[in-house]
Amino acid sequence: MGKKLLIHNDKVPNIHTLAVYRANGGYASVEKALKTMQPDQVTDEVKKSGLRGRGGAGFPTGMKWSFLAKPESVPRYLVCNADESEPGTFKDRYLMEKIPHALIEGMITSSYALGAKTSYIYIRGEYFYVARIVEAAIAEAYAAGWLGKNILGTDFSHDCYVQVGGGAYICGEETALLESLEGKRGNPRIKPPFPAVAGLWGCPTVVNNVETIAAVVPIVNMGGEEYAKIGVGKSTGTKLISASGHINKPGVYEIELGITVEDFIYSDEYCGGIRNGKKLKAVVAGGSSVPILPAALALTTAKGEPRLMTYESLSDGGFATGTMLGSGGFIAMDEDTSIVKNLFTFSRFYHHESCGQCSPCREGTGWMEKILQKFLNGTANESDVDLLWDIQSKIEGKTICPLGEAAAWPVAAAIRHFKHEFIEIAQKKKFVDISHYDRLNKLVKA
Amino acid sequence: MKVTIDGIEIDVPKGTTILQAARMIGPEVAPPTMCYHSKLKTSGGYCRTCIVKVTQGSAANPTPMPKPVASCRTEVMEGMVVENTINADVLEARKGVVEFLLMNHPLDCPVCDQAGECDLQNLGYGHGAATTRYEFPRREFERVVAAPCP
Amino acid sequence: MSSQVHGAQKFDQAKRAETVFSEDAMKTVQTIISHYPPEKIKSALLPVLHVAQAEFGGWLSPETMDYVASILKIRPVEVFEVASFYTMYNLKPMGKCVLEVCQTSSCWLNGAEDIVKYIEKKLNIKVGETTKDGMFSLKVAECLGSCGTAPMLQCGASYHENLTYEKVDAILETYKTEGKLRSYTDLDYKNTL
Repeated sequence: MGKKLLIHNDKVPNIHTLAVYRANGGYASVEKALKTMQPDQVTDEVKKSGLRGRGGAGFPTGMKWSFLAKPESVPRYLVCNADESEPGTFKDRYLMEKIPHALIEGMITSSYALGAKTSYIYIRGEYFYVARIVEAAIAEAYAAGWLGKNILGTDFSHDCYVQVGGGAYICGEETALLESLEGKRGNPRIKPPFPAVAGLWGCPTVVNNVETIAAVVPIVNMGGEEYAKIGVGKSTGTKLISASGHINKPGVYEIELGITVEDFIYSDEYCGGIRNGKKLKAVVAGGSSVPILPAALALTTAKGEPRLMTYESLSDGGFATGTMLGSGGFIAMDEDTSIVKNLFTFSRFYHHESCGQCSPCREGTGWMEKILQKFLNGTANESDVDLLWDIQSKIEGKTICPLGEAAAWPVAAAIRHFKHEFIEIAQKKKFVDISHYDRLNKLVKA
Repeated sequence: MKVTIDGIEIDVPKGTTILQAARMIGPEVAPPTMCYHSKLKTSGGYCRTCIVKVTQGSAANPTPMPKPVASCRTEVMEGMVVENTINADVLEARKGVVEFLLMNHPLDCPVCDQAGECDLQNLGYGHGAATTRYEFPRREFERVVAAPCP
Repeated sequence: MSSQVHGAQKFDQAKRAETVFSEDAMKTVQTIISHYPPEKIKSALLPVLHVAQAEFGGWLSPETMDYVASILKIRPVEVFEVASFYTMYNLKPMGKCVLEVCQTSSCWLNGAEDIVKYIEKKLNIKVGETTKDGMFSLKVAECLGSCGTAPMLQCGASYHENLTYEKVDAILETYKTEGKLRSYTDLDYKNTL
């Protein structure tokens, strides 16, 4: 069994209540930080831990915190990004639903480190019931004095609020999230200035993912150096992986960074292998944006080494033969899956979620979706594959925010590794959904 | 601040954008613009027409380079090296942007009777391809009456 | 201001006068507003719109948007631009229960298309339509964060996961029997059907 730091208590009955959470060692990090540490010491521990942003980009959290501008008499804010909407990712929902106090504890400890008197948890609108759970937990925390004025009798006062969104993937981008939090359309801002300098209402702001903030709790409790001993190289600590697709046991797993991909897919501790005895065909390892990999490259790198669940190993070989850990949205597909159709669902998603601000993304995502629809209709030509490739290359890197890349990478990777599937459809002028069988009836029978 | 655009060095005050610096050098290195207007403070940055490549950033800036940026919204930094017309990638990217901009335009430029009286048409002729590769019906909007007629 | 026309919907002055939050809803709205600095109450717009949508029939009419603008002391167009950007706000009347079936990758891999077809057949409507009795609307949605429990559909605040045809039957039956408007702000949401 690997070490678990975030969801080790998820099966404890009523762990969502303050009493049970506290009885299981909860809020120790707040006590330790507020009573025995200076704010900068907390930041130092996070730096030492090597914690990297768990939302997808993997930027070192300690470094992000140290960029926060601290002008006199200007309020600073901590904003928790709970707008989890990357297809394949549902770990934050699990964490907030099961152990909401883990997030709130992390918010208090992190806010202490950053000197933020107010923090917001921006939860995607569709998770309304989750927001209710977190709000109830916040109310409990206020009643017990963990939030509010002079926490634990110290000078530190803190308010934490929940805001629900309105249903937009783009609000997971930090500046779009801030716009949305200000009551506007979720249009990403042009950077610079970065939120660390001018964020929420123009004030210095740190935006962190739910899992990142929750990870601050064990880091403060055990010390950054101790935390850094878990994992491999620069991928330290544990990571929540949302596993879905054609696997026997979909769900949220906490892994020590460094286990092999093969172990993750086939061992009974995690996914438990591919459903119905089928063979693995392809893997999307870190949410829909990251390049898809064929089974062979997912399990071993191009150099022939076993692929590990770490930031470095998954991106080994660059995009030619590698991918990214991303948000940890792990989708496994069996041998019957049509990569073209799967790509279509992704492209439709990005077209739907493009905010429409800048031209390459607004126009390009819709164009790619339409061309992929041609493949599904059986009216595509071989030249359409080259056209798709050209369009994605003209979106990637040319947009205001990373949604452009997110829309381009899956298209590029599908063509890179599965071009024959596109060509075959174009030549036969017919798309047969090889992945299509009545799954539901099969499931009912099984 | 010293900045080099297409191999030409120029000294500009702090706060100058790459686009402004390029315009100071002259029209031959200045990128075209669509959504930017010099008199409107927060305009620009959205159409991506003015995209250029920063091949070398500044020691003060941790952002990894080279990187395509919107020149109208990016301020120059000491020692920055920028490529516009001498970089094939930039020209190709701009061709893409022009194609995206014209994709849902009701008319193809060659058959439009604006004939030279249109900035978009000029942009298309100057930086785009002769024909569009977009074969689908163009986007149309429902007519919205924003205010009742008197 | 109030003579504005929002999209295809006409503004009705008489309806606007009747558009007032109940006491309970107003209390919720005031609590939401108190979360922000006094000069930044526009920030409350998204959550307040959810309350308004639940309060005024499951959609945001021009009158409702005008009312929300007056509460937050912003212009009606600021409300409209937000309401038209986010997918959770309905700008036209919907059925009492809006069924949103997720169709993105993991759900598709697990048969979301079959679920959509099944509901279409059962309710005799297509995606985007509402049943004649005004009970159900069917929509498709992009990833709702339920990939490990796919396929799924959302109705109001409720997540219905690991769907089978039998489960869909039970869900539709329950909602039909209850006959009430299901909104995102429901406190009696049910995720166990």
